[in-house]
Amino acid sequence: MAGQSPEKMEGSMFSPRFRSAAEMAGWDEETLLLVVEDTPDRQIKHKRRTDLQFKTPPLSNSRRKRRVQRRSPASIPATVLDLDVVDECPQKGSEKKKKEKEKSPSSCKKKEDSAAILCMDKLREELSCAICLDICFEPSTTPCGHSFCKKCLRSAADKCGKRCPKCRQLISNGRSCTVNTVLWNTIQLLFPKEVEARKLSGSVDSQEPKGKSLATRNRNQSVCPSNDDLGTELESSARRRSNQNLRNRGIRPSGILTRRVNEDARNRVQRRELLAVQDEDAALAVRLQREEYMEAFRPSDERQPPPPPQQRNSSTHLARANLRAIASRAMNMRVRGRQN
Amino acid sequence: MKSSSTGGVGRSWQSTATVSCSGKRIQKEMRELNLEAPPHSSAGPKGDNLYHWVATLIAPQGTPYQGGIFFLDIAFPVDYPFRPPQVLFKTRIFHCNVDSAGNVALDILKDGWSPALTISKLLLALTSLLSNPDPYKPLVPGIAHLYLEDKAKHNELAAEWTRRFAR
Amino acid sequence: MFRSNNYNVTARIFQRQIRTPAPGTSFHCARRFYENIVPSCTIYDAECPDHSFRKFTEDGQYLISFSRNHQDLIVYRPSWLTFSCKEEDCDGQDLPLKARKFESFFSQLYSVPLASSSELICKDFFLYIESNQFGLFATSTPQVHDAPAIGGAVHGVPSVEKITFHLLRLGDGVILDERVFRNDYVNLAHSMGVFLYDDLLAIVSLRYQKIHIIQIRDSGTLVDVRAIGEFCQEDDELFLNSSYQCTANGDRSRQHHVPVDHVGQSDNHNQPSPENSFLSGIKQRMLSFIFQGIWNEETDETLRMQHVKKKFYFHFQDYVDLIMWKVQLLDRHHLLIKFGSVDGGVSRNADNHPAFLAVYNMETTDIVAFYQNSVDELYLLFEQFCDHFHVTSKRSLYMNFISSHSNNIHVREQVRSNKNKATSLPQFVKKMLSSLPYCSQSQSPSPYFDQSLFRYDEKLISATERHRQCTDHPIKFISRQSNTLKFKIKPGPEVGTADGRVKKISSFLFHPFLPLALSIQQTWSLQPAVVNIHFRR
Repeated sequence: MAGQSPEKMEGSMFSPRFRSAAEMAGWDEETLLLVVEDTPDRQIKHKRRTDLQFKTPPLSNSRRKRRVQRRSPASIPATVLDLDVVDECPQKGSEKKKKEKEKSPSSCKKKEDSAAILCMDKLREELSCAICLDICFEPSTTPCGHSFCKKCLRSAADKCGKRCPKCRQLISNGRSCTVNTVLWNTIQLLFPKEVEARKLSGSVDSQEPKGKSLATRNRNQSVCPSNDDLGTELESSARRRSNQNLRNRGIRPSGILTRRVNEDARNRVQRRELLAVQDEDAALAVRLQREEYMEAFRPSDERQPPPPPQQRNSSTHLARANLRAIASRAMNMRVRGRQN
Repeated sequence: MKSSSTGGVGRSWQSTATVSCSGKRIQKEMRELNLEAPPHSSAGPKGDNLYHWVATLIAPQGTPYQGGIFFLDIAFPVDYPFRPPQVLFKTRIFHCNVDSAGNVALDILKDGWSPALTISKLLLALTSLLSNPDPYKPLVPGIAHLYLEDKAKHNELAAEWTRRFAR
Repeated sequence: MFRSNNYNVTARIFQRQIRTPAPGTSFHCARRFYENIVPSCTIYDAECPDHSFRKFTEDGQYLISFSRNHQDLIVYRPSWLTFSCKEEDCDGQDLPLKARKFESFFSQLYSVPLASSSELICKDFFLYIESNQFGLFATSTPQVHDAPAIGGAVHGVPSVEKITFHLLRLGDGVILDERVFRNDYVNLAHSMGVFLYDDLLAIVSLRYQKIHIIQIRDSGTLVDVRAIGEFCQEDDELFLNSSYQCTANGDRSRQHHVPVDHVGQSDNHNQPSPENSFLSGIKQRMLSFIFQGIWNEETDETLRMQHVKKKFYFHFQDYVDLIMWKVQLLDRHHLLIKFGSVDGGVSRNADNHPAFLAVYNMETTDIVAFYQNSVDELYLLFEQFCDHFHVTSKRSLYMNFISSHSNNIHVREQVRSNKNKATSLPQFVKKMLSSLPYCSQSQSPSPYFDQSLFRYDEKLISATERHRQCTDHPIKFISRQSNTLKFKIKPGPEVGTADGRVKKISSFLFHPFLPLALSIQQTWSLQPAVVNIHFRR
């Protein structure tokens, strides 16, 4: 498995091991394309642990992934996740994190900011719903590839005919209002504040029990702690927090979790502490978990008041959350495998 | 947006929130217009009412309407952007797609409307309508015929109308 | 011996004999004689017929009066009291009895019924066309308030069923022409709604928002020149109709060739719909002028839209709702139009309403300038070039001597001191500009009102013809040069009676060049007015 595939410049960013791990997890080439090109942390990429950032591979076949490529929330260094070498990973991971922490205050910070803002504007434009002119909220994609808020698309279909508002192609199936999870997650990562505001102002609870990924998303959202803006917030602490949160979620047995049950989630976070020990196979997971717990205790005050479930988080956090989900799934499979 | 914390996804929310929903969208469009004004045209709300706008089209050079300033009334429906805004010419114009009451025949204002269209695009479409009338779907067939048969005379009349009524 | 500043009339006459005045001041020198010749003698309560006297014509030839029932016009010619005195000390003698009669001073020329039974002559309205000695009078039926706004009429403006303008030859009282306005409203009070310049009349129809420009021919006919309102050019309406015809014809003959995709009913759209919602011609010009001004103000493209929005679109409806209040001609081509809101159009006191002044060129149908009435720029123009606003016909020389702050230093000083005393400059500007547009023939050309000759209390009497409240005090005219009292106008000997509490209004009619004046005191009741004649004995 060579790292240099011609169609992606980012090919070199993928370590061979990762690719194998990804294959195991059931990803295809396409999903690996979800790499952001212009993260300023490129210097770090030369290291063994490559930075990467990707989103949870959607269970649906959305071509949205390619779109997500373009967005570059300037410094979201992804933590390395090398599931094969789980024993080494924790240390490497921690080392890497330290290095990254050192690096981030460096000069690339300034570049990050200005590039970030520029990118953010373009991203905002890209990710806006053409109907409400806001950031897409629970975006749903038409067969012709255009995305709109689920509500907006539905209203448009009800009132203006079943045509795509942008290209007028027929939307064949009137009730296909599925949320484009990848896009949605991306949006939540990038514009947590807007999303939060939108939710606060009376967004409807989405209660579509659609399976793991959705549940994961919900879970992730429900624990999003920070409200900081993207781009400037890619501190390792946030990352760690997200890691921990994600870890927690990942370990939880997969099930449907409604957003209302934020308190449950919080309780579970605390309970996780006790349960953490049970997952000894996933060594990395354990370590990360511990870190997460520490994080969880820190901002627990902020999380005391009932909902809003998120927004203390930077996009990294969400990215991490997604990552964790993948990792957890992978681990669960492993665990089950071992158990069997 | 009003929040309805019920399980009814979307339906009750829609009806109570359409006014503010359209209001928000109109406000956003207003801000967008501030930043990226289309050439030759501008629009803004009439006084305090966000749903009633006035637009001005400065006829582009090279068209027989050049030198004319055309005022239009734009009325946004309550369920904008799902219904198109109503556009009315307040200035007389000799155009095959504008009738003697000021109504405009533009496909995007009727069946071709899509919620993804904005005022800015609408203004662009209107400006381009000035430059390129569509005689095959006229609102005033007489003018369309003249346009097709004797374009010079049509342009001359259009210029005369502009000079008399739109300066 | 004969110093140039000698105030004696004899000295002045000698001066006139032997010296030529400084260049350009011959008129002024001649006018100084008026300081010596003043209407110092008063005949109180002269026996005069019970008419309401309106004014002297500007050339002093006629005295216009209306009968009490507002239906007849009576014209007098001012003459002079003549009597002979055989006594030795003629000056000390009392005046003969016939001096008390009005007829000694004025001889009646004719009496013409102007108004039919249902109409009344508008007492306040009179315009004199000096070149041909024509007079313009107006008769109208009673006002109807709350008239429905149909046919393009503006809401809120009262309606009069019939307004007739009569053109009369004053020499013999022959009615030459008439112009009727039906279901319309023209502000006839003090000739506010009509402006005369040379031979052009500008009549503002408030209800239909049209300015009718009418020419008065030498033969005495009234000819319509144009009607500015919905259409700016005279042939606009004709052109529009012919365009519609032309396109309709084309349509009918070729209907089967081109597939027509009707979005609405095409048939109706070839006819001009009567109730269309287009902006009227003058409004369109005004809005486009304002828009272009604001658009060009802001050169930065990014801020331009906001600028336009704030300044123009926000107030768009207010601009559209403006109506023309008053119009004056600045010269044969230019109109000064005052725009304001509907409420202030009919009322006289329009201080609280925003008002705008626009200069409009009738020939090119362009708005040349547009100001709000509190703008300093316009005020400066007014302050410095007042006489250009107070236009008079070129043919009447005496009209150039009406004192204004552009031609008289005393008036200018007065204005300056008022300006300095004013607490709020915008208010002051508004007050000064409220006199625009000017009412034609609203000021008396009498030299006794000339501020460079006399000083008098403007609150009690002024060149502007207006009814004022009667005062007990005599009105003093003090010569500017010598600072001595030259003459007084006393209200009358019976002021101290029990009826003193009754409010009396007084009006003053000064002859344009003779030392002759009438002061009339009236009460609101139907008592006959008291007329005093002031003349030089």
